[in-house]
Amino acid sequence: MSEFLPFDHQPDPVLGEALRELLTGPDDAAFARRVLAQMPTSLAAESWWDVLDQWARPGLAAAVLLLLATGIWLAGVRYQAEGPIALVEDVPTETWRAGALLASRTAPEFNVDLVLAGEPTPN
Amino acid sequence: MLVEKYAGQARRLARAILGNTEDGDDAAQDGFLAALKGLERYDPNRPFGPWLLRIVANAASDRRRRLKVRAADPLPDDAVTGRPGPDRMAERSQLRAALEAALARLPPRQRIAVVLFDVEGYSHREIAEVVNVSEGTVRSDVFHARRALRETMGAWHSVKEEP
Repeated sequence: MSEFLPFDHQPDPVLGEALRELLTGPDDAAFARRVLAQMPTSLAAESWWDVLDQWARPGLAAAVLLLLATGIWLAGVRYQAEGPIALVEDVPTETWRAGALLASRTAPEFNVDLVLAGEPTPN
Repeated sequence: MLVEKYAGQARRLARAILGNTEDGDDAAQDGFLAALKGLERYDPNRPFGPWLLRIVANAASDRRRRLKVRAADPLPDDAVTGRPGPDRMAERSQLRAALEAALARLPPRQRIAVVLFDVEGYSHREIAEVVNVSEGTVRSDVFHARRALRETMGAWHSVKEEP
């Protein structure tokens, strides 16, 4: 014990063990029960400590992130399943072909259906 | 259960401050109950141990100020002089008593620092959070406390080895 460095920044295992033996009291479990028995029952004491214990677990944070990501993904999938939205319900058109383009859910065949707005379809 | 997890640390710290088991356990209990009441002030992003032990240390210090000095567990007659007893168990008991007396002679902040560093393994920075001083002050407290306690243990061993 006479050999020690005055600026030793590591814990001293010999001194630490001696102090631990000196200061450790019997039956920590009984002490914990004594503390829990003193906690106000209206607070549901054990559940408060359990919640705090859960906050300390990093796995809970990871689960929350996963749920959030899943929710965002599902919302995106549902959005893509919807068809194109008609910007207007009734477009005053010169020809039935323009109205058909607006209502169609498929791409027009431009070599057949290309028309200029306002020009009547020749008969 | 956090109470069970930190019961040992809290009891040892409180006992180091107060010098006896009974008052130490009462103070540790006060600390746990105060922590429960102040739970909304705990930042989950910070380690729980230093936060709790700061409350326990404050509770123990408050109790120490309010109480008259309670007599510590009675020391064997040979404790102060360090004369070895007739058998190994008696020697261990006397060493414990000498160490306990040396710990009691330290200022409370040095007791806290050396117990949290050498017994519980907290860093200087974490201990600074517990006692609300700078990290450099904690290093100084640990140094001075160790020197005093090691001198006691070294002196006791030297006396024991004398013919």
